[in-house]
Amino acid sequence: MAKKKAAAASNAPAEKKYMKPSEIVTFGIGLFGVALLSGWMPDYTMTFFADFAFKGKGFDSAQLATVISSVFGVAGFVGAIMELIIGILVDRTKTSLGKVKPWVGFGAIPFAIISMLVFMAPNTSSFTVATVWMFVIYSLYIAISCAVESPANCFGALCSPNPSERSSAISIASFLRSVGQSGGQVVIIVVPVIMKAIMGQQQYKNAEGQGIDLIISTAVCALGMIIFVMIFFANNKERVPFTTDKVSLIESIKLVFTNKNLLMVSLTKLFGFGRGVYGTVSLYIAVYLLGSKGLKLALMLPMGIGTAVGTLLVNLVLKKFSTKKTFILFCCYGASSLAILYFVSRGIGFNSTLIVPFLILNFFCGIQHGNTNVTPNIMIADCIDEMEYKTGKRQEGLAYAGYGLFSKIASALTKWLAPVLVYTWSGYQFSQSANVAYATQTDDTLNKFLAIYTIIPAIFVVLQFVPILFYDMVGEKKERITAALIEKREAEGKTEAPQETLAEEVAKAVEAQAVEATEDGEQIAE
Amino acid sequence: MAKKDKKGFSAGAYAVVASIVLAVVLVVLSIFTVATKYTGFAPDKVAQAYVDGIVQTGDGYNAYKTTLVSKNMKYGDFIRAAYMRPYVNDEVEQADFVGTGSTQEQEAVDSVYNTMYAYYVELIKTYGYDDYDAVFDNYFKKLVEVRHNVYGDDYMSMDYMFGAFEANVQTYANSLTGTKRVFANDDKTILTEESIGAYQIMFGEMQEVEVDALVDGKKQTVTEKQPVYKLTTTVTSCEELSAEEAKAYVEEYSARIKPVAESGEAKADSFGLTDIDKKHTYKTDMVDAFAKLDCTEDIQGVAKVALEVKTQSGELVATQELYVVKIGKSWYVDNTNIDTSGLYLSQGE
Repeated sequence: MAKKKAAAASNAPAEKKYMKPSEIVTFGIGLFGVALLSGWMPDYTMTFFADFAFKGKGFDSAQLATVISSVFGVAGFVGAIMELIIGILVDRTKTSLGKVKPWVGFGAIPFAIISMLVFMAPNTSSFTVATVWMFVIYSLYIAISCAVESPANCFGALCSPNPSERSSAISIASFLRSVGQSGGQVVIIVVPVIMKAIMGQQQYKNAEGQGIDLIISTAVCALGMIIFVMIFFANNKERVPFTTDKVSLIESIKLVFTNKNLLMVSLTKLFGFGRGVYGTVSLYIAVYLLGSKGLKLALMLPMGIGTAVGTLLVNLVLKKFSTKKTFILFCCYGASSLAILYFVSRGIGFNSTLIVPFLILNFFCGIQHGNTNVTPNIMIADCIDEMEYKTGKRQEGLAYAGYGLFSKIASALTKWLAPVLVYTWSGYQFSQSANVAYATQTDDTLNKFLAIYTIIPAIFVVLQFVPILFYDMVGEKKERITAALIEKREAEGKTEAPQETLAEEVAKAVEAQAVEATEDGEQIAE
Repeated sequence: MAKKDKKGFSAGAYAVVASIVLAVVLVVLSIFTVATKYTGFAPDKVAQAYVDGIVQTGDGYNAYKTTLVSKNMKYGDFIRAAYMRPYVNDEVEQADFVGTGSTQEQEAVDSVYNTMYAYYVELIKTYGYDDYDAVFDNYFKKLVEVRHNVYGDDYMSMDYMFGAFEANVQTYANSLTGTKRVFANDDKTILTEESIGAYQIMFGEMQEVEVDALVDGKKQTVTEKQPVYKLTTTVTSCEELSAEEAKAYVEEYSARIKPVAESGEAKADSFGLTDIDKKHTYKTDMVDAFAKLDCTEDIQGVAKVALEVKTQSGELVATQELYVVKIGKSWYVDNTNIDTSGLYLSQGE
């Protein structure tokens, strides 16, 4: 036993485990909770604003579409600025709970409330009031969601000083986050089923026409978010010590934006901004090609499962290849699968009788998302190590904010591009009747929907791996930096004692009992 | 799990309290929103939505979604089973131009829709939507004839029937409200010219409005003088009937609805509908569709609602009295004793 303990003690700290197994799970549960709400809000907000919020108020469809595009464009830029502000504030937060946890734990409450308020449109016939409300409420939602989501995502870099343990935790959390994104879609389909059972078919249709199902679904997801985030808040702990040096705002920003590798990881978001347009059109693919809004789940579920499988596959691929090679490999695969989906759908002529093959192809398209969910987050954590190695300062908040900033700019561009494609380029017709949720569309519009769902994202998937060609925090360089940082922290006495494994705990208990027994002859007899 | 920090803050206790408080807040917000937004739980809102739907666009078709017709069956399913099924003939070949997107196909569609629109207007004038039985029966019967004459085939499907009927409903609405000029995505081609609606002529006041126009070969927003109107539907009174009055009302309702609910079998027989196998129970479906119209046993309360429709200048243009009945928590317009002819404002012109 003593030999075992000595062996454990001689292990390099980089190989030691710091987190309790439950912490890895609850970190994932926290991200699951946040994604449960934030994962579907933007798309459904867009359709709520377009189809339900001001139905029957006599607003001009074209004007409304233009305003919605602007609302999402502006909100995206608000998000980008907030990302930076939150990043700076996170790095300046030094509490007994840590630097990230207070933002997630306390921010979840306003996040839940603002999400509900997004679906509570004012009863107004004034287009100006409606416009102002959409701008204000959605910008507020984006700002508050940023204050929760951004710190929650950067928790991975703080959960353990061990890069391997950190990568595993990030992978598992990313997996649960991607499940959470589809979890919201489950709520969207379960709520209508319950509403139909309670209200009857036609009454549900009438309520759906007034957006009631969206309001109830939001409440359910918001409650789920709070519960899951609170489990994370109560159980998880930050373990990487924050640097105490005061860094000026300009210096902070300079540190982050002059790091080549971090910049390259962040640029992947910008180069691939059009990938996300499929999310906006997926609702309409469900409505018009699958036959029901509720079937967006049927559409998203295979993709969500594909994403989950992709997350696990990324883990396997990462064991064989570097983060750089893994990223490029998955991008090539993703573009190919989307192109196949497009050509197969056009070739055989998509209709509701071919749902199953369409959904199977959707699953294969979803696999690529596992990569974009996991690999960049691991790369950023590596970049933070590189920055600490070079400057002596750790800036998780701002590093993730830098990435988040590009994400938000990309997202703003997506939010601008998506409605332009879906509502203008495709020739989408808005419903004018208070009792009809979605108007009939032409074949040309439906074909364009398919292109927005497949071939257009494929082009952006190819573009997004270009910056990664210049990323070099891999191989020997990464190993050297990790070793140097661990050495430095040990020298400073900052590394927290590693978590004892269960086997070690049992061994310790047995050893203690044995000592006690040796001191007491009767116990030996027993 | 959660440990208190030095200052006594307990993350676990905070998590529990925050979850409970938020659950309460979310429930309250949801109830408030549903109560203010959903019209089905308030008798006055149900009546207002019903009347306003008809008066604004002449859409007596979709108005049935808030009536007792839609209580036990989805409205669309009711129309399928009770009116469309006898005319469905989707196993025969269609005209060879169908599905080609050719000019011939477009012209055929336009020809059928235009012919049917004239007939639709005639049906609304003759029977009105209060007699939906006559409207649907005659419309679908005529549609089969018109399609045969134009396409030269005997094909008919429920999708085709809904397509033609709903297009006519929309055209009728456009004829009342007027339409805006619609441009193609190239911002040059005018897809639809603007039209002046009957309501604009009847109630409009000339105002400057922003419209899209072709200026120097390109779409631009310009200011034009156009007749602008606004019709507002308000509830003037809403009284719940006493238990005795409600009981008497339900008896009268029952007397009205029973013959309709029992008419399914005779109707199915008149069309020669039969149950082919367990999956294709056409006769049973029609019989059930009519039987389900009877809500006698479900009605728990009745309210009488009076409404009025005024123009932007305050001129009274229509009044309406109707009864709404309560079933469970929802209210439904009783369509069995209503006369909505006064709401089709353009028909007196």
